[in-house]
Amino acid sequence: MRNIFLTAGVAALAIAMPASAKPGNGGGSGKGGGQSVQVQRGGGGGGHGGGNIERRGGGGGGQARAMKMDRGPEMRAVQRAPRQQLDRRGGGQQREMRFASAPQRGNAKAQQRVERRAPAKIERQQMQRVAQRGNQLRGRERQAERIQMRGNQDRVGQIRGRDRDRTFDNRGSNRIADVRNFDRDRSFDANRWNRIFGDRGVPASFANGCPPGLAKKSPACVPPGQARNNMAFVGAALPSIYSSNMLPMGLRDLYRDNDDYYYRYGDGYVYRVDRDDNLVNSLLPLIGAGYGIGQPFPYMNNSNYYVPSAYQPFYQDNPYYDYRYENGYVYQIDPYNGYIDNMIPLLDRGYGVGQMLPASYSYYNVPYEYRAMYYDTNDYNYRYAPGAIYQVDPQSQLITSVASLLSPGMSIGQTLPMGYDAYNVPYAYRDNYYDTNDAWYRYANGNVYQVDPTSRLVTAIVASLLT
Amino acid sequence: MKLSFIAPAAVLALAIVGCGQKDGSANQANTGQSSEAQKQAGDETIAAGLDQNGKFFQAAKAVGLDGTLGGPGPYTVLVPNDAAFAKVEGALKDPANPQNRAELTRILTYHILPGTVLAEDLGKAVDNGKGKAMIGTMGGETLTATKDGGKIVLTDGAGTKATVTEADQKRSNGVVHMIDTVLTPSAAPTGTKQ
Repeated sequence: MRNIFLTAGVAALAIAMPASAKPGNGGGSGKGGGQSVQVQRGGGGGGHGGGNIERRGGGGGGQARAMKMDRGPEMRAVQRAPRQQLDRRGGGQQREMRFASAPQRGNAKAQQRVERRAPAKIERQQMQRVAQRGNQLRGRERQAERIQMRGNQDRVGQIRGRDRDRTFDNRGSNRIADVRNFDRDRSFDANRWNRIFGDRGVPASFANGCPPGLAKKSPACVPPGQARNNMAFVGAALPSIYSSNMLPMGLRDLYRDNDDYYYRYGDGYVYRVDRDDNLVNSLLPLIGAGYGIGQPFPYMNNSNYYVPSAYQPFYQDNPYYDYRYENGYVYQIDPYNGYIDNMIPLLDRGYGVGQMLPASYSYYNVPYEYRAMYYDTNDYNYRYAPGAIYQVDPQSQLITSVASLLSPGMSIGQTLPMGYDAYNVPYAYRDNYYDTNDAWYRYANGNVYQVDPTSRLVTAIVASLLT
Repeated sequence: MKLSFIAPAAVLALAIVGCGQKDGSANQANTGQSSEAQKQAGDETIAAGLDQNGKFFQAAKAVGLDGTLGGPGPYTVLVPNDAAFAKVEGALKDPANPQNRAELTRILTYHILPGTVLAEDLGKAVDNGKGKAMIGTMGGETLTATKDGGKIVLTDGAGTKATVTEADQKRSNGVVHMIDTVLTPSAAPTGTKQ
């Protein structure tokens, strides 16, 4: 929907308002500046948010639509995205749109025109988006520099000088003024952090930099598997074993010790500790080498970090996001500047019989290769959640059994994942596919994969047990 | 694989027929393979071959994994013996309690490996890895395999070691190895899953 505005500028303005008002599409919201600028930004950011929601499959109804999107090829999916965003907006949005009815009608026509000529339009829109991205990139680069130099007082003067040409005076609507004040106060405030990251298109509902996927866990913001005994939460004393743990190199520029706070690293978290009372003031969950929201993901083109095949129905690269995987998390990355927008923990295993899957798994989402085997009937539905295909009762939506367990999968071109050291090919295939010095064979999720022993790269699927 | 062997869940058998998985042998018939090894493995599924009164099977039944282990798989299952279950606390003590289901599922899937891994395969992997091999489980976490004397030893995330006491009980949809200790995955976050 928002893509249309880029080409039909007039009608765009009215619709851009609801688009940018939506909290999840932080890209355009809350900024000052001219309307036209806002439209473009809102377009990009809104597109972001919409794509985001779709991919997760969450956010209310439209289940049938979502299903179509899964089945269509990538191109079609992009075309459908605009329409779905329109349907999925909440009541608030619809209200606003009713008020803007006149332009709306024109826009509906524009929409129809667009759909008919969709393929060419998509390309044009994408190119336009790339152009906008150029502008946004510049803004973001500057912003990134500011964040990096946050604690370094020597360069603050320089930054301010560079921004002197901007003459915004409305603090609430101008992120640059916010950051300037931020620098001036030299104190960390979670709300300001939200505004900064909100400008990146990340939902402003983050608290203390905690992504929503983690925030709703209990305890909140704890990456699964990391709730170890010597973790400290906000308000607690920093465990003494961390008191001299300096941050990993890549993070030391981002988080510098200052007069009010110092930063220490412990067991997957950056702890910000108040100097006055030595209590933890805030913590930022890190994964692996410390990739967090708002940081660049360093391995965009390294196939080791592609999303494992078992999760690919959920996380496919699209014009709005790229998805990469590391250490149990899928990272949602802005494809144009490589910054992480969200982290999605994939350790939601252990749904059992008698439980209900979350709403985000409420539509048929079985991975493609299993669909011939597990399809919905009147008596049983099948739903996929990481780790298994579940048999679900259609009326009560409760899990009645685990139809099939799925292992962390592998993809061709990827390195053999950890845990496949042992030969595990099923009986029926052992005669033909056995380990030699030239080739190994490993079984995962219905397929027998060939692996090169020296490079440990998965080279091919040689057999499939699935119909 | 004959569906009639899925004794504990006749309803489940209907479900499997209903879902189009007409016959487990479709898996093997796909590529025209029917090897000696498959014939040797026999007709009995893992679920049918487990001691139905044993603690592992009772726990698996409580979380619905008994049907899974009767499905096409193939799976490699590390089954702790009953004595091992007597030594543990927590969810395994009370499998019937619905509150324990999530935790129980996590623990049980930690004992299920993808594919068919025989003892000699584990041994070769350990040799290739100069004494150590990483084995992934269906629960998502990994086990470390080593050799002690002639036997395979599996170590979990907390360092608990389990020795394979009886290996290579072949089934139509995989293989079962008996072990002497219950392995535990690392702790999950507490609280209900949203």
